[in-house]
Amino acid sequence: MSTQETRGAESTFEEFVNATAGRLLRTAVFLVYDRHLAEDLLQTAYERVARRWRRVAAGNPEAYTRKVLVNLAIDENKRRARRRERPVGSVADVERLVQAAPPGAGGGELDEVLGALPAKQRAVLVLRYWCDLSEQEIADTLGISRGTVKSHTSRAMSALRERVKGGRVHGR
Amino acid sequence: MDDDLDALLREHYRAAADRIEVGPRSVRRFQDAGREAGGDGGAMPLRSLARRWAPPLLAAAVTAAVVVAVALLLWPGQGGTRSPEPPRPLAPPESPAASVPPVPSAVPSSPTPSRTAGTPGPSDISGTPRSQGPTRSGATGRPTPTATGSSPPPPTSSPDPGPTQRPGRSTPTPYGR
Repeated sequence: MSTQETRGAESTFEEFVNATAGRLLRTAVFLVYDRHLAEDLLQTAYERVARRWRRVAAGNPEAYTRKVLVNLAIDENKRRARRRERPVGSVADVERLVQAAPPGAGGGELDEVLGALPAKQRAVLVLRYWCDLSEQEIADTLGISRGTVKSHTSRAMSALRERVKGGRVHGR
Repeated sequence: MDDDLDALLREHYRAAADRIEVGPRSVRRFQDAGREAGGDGGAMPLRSLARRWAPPLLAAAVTAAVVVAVALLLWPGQGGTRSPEPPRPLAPPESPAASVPPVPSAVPSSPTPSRTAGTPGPSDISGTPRSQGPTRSGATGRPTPTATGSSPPPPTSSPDPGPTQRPGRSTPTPYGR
């Protein structure tokens, strides 16, 4: 590979990061509700994309990066859920958890409801209402069937509906 | 109801996104991470390739070495546990015919073999005298040891069935006299 080719590929990847960092970072924040963790996950996703940049760039690199990011976020949410089952060691741990709970979204009640959803249900809502993806695109991103996407959406919406009925959710 | 929820969610995400800023430092960090990870066109850098494949390659090499070493040690006739030489007879090895001077064939032509030529046959043990052959000495009546090679097959050590089973032969038994 010549130096010019390398430079060209680098600038292409850098342009891609410039163009997509904002959207994907917001997606990551909505997925994990933690700004720092979101940045870490997005960085990991960009690293994986960079390793396969030639192949990925030929297709839809943003969709691929989003797919990597969403799956990283789901894994991380599962890991955090497992960690939460253990007894908390100290007051500092509790404070850290409380600080990590609200994202950059203002900490509204809807955030609490969304943050309490299971990882995949939350991911389905983010992909549908923030990324505006179709059911098929969501299924491709998560690696599940359309029927599973529908059931995740239905469960998440019924959980939200219960809160709305109870009058506990006010926008943000 | 669902339409309200849809609108609520869309509005919520849009409003929240406005408050999430991506600074140039973050963008630079992502770009640097991608470049270090192999953003030079997709080729995995040699260092990360080595880091990724070194442990399994090392494990495979160690396993192969152990297997080969065990095979060499345990393989019959190979390696350190070579099977011992087959046991040799205690007597000196037979010399080739050329190195030994030819023994004069001073075999007596007499039909009676030398008594010192061989050990007494099993017939002597059983006490059954020979009933045939020219070796019998009628004067002494003693059984004559057989000469190897020229005698009929020796009888077994089982008791002599006696003259009733061999009517045609007049074999005297030591007990019959």
